[in-house]
Amino acid sequence: MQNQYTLTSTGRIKKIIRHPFAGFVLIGVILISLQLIAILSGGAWPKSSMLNGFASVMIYAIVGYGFTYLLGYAGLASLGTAGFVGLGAYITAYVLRNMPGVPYIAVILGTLLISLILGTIVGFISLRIEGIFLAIVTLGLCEIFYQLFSNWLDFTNGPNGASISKYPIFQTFFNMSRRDAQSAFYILLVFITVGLMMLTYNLGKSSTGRAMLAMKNSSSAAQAMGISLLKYRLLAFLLSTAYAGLGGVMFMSYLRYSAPQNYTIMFSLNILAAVLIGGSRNLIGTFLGCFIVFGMTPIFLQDITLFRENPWIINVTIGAIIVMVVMVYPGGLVQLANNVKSFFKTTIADRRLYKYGTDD
Amino acid sequence: MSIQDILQTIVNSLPTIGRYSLITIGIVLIFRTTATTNFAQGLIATFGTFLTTWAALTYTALPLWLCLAMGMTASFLLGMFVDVALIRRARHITPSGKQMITMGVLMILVNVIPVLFRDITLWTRPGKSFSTAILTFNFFGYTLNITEMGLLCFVTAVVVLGAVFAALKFTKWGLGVRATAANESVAQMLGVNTRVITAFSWALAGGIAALGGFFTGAGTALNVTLMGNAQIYGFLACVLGGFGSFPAPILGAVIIPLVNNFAGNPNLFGPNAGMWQNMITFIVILLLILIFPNGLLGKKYIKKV
Repeated sequence: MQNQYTLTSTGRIKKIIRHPFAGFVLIGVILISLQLIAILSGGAWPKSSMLNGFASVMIYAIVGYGFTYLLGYAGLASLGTAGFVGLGAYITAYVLRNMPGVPYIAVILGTLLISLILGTIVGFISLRIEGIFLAIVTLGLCEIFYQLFSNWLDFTNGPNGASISKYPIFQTFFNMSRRDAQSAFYILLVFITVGLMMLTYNLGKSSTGRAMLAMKNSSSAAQAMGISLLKYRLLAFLLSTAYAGLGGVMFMSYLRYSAPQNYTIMFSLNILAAVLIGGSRNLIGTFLGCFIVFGMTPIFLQDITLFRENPWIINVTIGAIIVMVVMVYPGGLVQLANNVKSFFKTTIADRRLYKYGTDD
Repeated sequence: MSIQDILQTIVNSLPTIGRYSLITIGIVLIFRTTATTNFAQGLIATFGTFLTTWAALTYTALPLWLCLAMGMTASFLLGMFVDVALIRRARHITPSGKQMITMGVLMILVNVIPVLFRDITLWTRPGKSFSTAILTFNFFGYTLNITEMGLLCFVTAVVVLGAVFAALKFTKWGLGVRATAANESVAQMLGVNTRVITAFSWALAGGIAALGGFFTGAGTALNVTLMGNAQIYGFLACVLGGFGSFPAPILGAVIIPLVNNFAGNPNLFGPNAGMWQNMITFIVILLLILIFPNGLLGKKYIKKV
C-alpha cells in the first residue's frame, strides 16, 4: 500500500508547478535562454537591441517591485521614484569614474545606504500627509532631484549626461571583452531580478506585508488593531527607495549612460502604469506590465515601420490602458488571466455535467 | 538688498502669481466637487493654448481675443468631456484611483497634442506680435517696471478670480458647488443636480486654465510641457494653502512665485541664484508643508472607522 506522504511523480511535478516561485524561475530561465541562444547563434537572433530591451525591462521591473510595496501593499502613490533611480545611477557613475579602486559591491551598498537615508526623510514627509496629497508632494520631490541632476555639474555632468566606459566587475575585474561582459552582466541581472521577485513575494506574505495591507484598506482600523502606521509606512518607503536605488545602479551599470531627461515625471508615471497594468500586488504581473510599458518598443515595435515613425501610438495606448484598468479592471492583467482560467474551468465543468450528468 | 529691489521683485512676481492662480483655481474647483486631483489640468490648458495659436496662425484676419475664446472653449469642452466620459463613471473608485485615471489622461494628451498640432512650435503671429512694452510707474517714490503683458495677465487673473468667487458666493451654481463639495450624496438627495455641477466645474476649470496657458505661452516657443511647471506649482499651492477651502490655495499661489523670485534674485543669492531658484523654491514649499501638513489655512479632518 502506498504511503500517503510520498508523492507520485505526477504529484511531485504538480507540487513544483504550483510552487509560488515556479513562475519566477520560469521567467528567469526564459530570459537566460534568450541570452544563451544569442551566444550560440553568434548574435543572429535575438539581436543585441532586443536583449538590451529585455535588460531594461528587468531594470524597470526591479524598480517596479519596490513600487509594489508602496502602491500594492501600503496603498501610497508616490511619484518620487524617478529621483531615487536617478540618484542611484549618478552615484554609481560618479564613483566608478572618479574612484576606480572602490569594489562594485561597495558601490551598491553605498548607494543603497544613501537611498535609505533619503527614503527615511521622504517617509517622514509621507507620514504627515494623507494619501492623495502624497503624490503631489513627491511630484515636488521629483522636480528637486531633476533640478539637482541638471544643475550640479561636478556630480552629474549636467544635461550632457554621465557615462561610464566599462561594464563593472566583468570588464574591470575579470578583464572580459566588451561583448562577453555585456552577456555576463545580463545573466547577473536575471539572477538579481529573480532573487528580488522571491524576496518581494516572501516579504509580501509575511506579517509585514499583511500589516501593510491592513493599513492600505483602512489606516484608522489598522491603527486600532495595533499596527504602527509610522513603522510600516516608513518601511514601505525604505523598501521602495532601496529597490529604486538598486535599479539606478543597474541602469547605470548596464546601459552605462544617463541624462537628467531620463528622470522626469514621465518615468515615475510609467513605473506607476507598469505596476498598475500588471496588477498591483502580483510580481509576474508587474514584470509583464514593465514589458508592455518599457519593453514593447525596443523589442518588437522598432522593427515595424508604423510604430517606428509614430512612437506616440504606443504611449497613447498605454495611457488608455491605465484608464481602462483603473475603471473597469482593477486587478490588471493578472485578473484577466485568472478570469480566462476560471472561464475555461467552468466551461469544462459544464461540459462534463452535460456529458456525464451529476453523480446520481 | 534695498527696498527698491524688494518692491521690484514683488512686482516681477505679479504675472506669475496671475498665471499660477488661474491654474490653481481650476485644480481646487475640481478637487472640491469630485475629490479628484487632476493631473491632466496643465495638459487641458496646453490643448487650449495650442488651439489658440493654431487659430491665430491660420485665420490671420480674426482678432486675437476671438482666437483666445476658441482656445478657451476647446479646453472648456475637453474638461467637460473628461468628467462626463471618465470621472462621472468612476464615482465609486477611491480618490487615488481617480488620480491615476487623470494620470492616464495626462499620458494620452501629452502624446496626442504634439501630433495634432505638428507644425505649431512658436507663438508668433505675422504683423501682430505681442506687446513687449515696459510700463514704469511710481510707487511712494520708488520707480518700478512691469511688462504690459505681465500686467494684463495679473489684472485678468484678478478679474477672473473675483468673478469665480462672486459666482461661488452669490449664484445658484455656486451654492450647488458648495453643497457638492460638502457632501455629494446629501446634495444629490436635496435636489442638487450634481452631474451638471461637476461637469460645469470641470469645464470651467479647463477654460480658466486655458487662459493661464495663453499668458504662459504668449511670445514664447510652444511645446507640450508648457504648463508642466505651472501644474506642479499649482498642486503644491493647493497643498500649501490647504485643499479644504476655495480661497486658501490662492494664498499658496501667491506665496510660491514670491519665494521663487526672491530665491532667484542675484542681489540676494549671488549670480548663480537663477540656476538653483526652482530647487530652493521646492525645498521651501516642502518644508512649509512638513510644518503645516493640512495647509496654512486648512483644518484637520478626523476620520472615524
